Amino acid sequence: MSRRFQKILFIAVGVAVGVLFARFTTGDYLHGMIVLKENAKLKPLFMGKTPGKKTLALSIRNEQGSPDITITVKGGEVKSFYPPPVVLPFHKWIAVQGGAFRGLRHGMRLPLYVTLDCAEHDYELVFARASDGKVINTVPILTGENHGTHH
Amino acid sequence: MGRITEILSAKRRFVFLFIGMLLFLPPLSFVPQAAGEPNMCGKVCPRLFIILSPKGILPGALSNIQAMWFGVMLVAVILAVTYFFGRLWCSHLCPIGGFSEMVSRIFPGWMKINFTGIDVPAFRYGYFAVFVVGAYAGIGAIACKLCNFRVIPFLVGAPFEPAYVAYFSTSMGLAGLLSVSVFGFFARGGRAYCNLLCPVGAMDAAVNYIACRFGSTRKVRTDRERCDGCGSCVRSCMVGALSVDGTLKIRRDALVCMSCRDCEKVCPQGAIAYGKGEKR
Repeated sequence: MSRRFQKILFIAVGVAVGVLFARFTTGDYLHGMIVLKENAKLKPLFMGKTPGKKTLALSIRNEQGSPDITITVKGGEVKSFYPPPVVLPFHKWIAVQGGAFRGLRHGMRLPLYVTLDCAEHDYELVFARASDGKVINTVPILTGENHGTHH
Repeated sequence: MGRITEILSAKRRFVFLFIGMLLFLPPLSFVPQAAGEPNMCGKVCPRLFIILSPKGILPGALSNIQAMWFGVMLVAVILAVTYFFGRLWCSHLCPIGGFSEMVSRIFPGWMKINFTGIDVPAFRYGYFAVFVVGAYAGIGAIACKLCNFRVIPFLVGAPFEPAYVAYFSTSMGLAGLLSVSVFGFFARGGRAYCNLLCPVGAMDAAVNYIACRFGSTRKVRTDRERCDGCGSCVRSCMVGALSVDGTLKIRRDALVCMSCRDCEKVCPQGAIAYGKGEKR
């Protein structure tokens, strides 16, 4: 095999693996982004129709004013990897307990894992003020096509 | 005392890699925490900002740089260090590649997949092209899917943080773990992911290749006069960067070499050295 042909072959294999990875999706996992604003119309998220537990990996950009919010979804669980297990003194972290997030700053990113139960119905992710329970915004999670967007 | 010094000297790279893991990986995540992240995602991500955005190349790039400012700075420092001193980040400090390499050393040789038959630069830059233009060209974004900068910190952090466990309970998390296992833990040398799929590695290798042309930069170099083509270094190279050419001398592929200096330690002729010098 000539060296030039070998090069071309491996470039093609690299491109093919790249395309395979780029098109790779699974029905039980969606990576999405939400810009959280008060009273803004937020687009729904679509989950696959596969049976079993589903997980939404969400990156939420906080564009609303309240520093303390609750995030809930009926039939699901909200988890965040904020704050880290060992908090070092040089960064002020938000406090997270269950679906309650305290000390949010405007513009900050909030990564969430929303685990939904096995039921094949639609869900609603509810963002509310922790102080008075007033709903800031909601995001419908619809089962059907799986075409989440990424930042 | 001399023996201890010898062992410490031989394992010096592993000490650096271990320090890299302590600095970047959970539960401490010392460096990511300085940027306000608990792991290597978000602001610290060194990969996503090179993806061309379908919303427009310039606005997308500006938005990505703003969102991942720490990752951008980290990559800039890595590339500058590589230009002057070789791929020290990849070989001596990268917590992700280092973790893969260390885990791969636990497993016996017969369990490992040998990727050395692959033309690494050709494969790597084919894949890299899709990584960069995939989203813009409408093919789809590779982005975080199967990213080892996500999988390994989450794996290390899983005993401390339930949210990381949630990721591994999905098929995407398991697919990520599989890709890291095939291209890392069960790969010969533990660095196939670094060499074939890592976009930072692709940029780093390109800078190393260019910088090797200049004798004023410090690199791992071979004295071809002293080399007798015994092949000891070829067998020791974890990334398959070395081969014996038609003149029975060692040929080093600067697009693959990771500057780990393992070849330098095994060369019986003392023909390999790190420093300034001739082109190769």
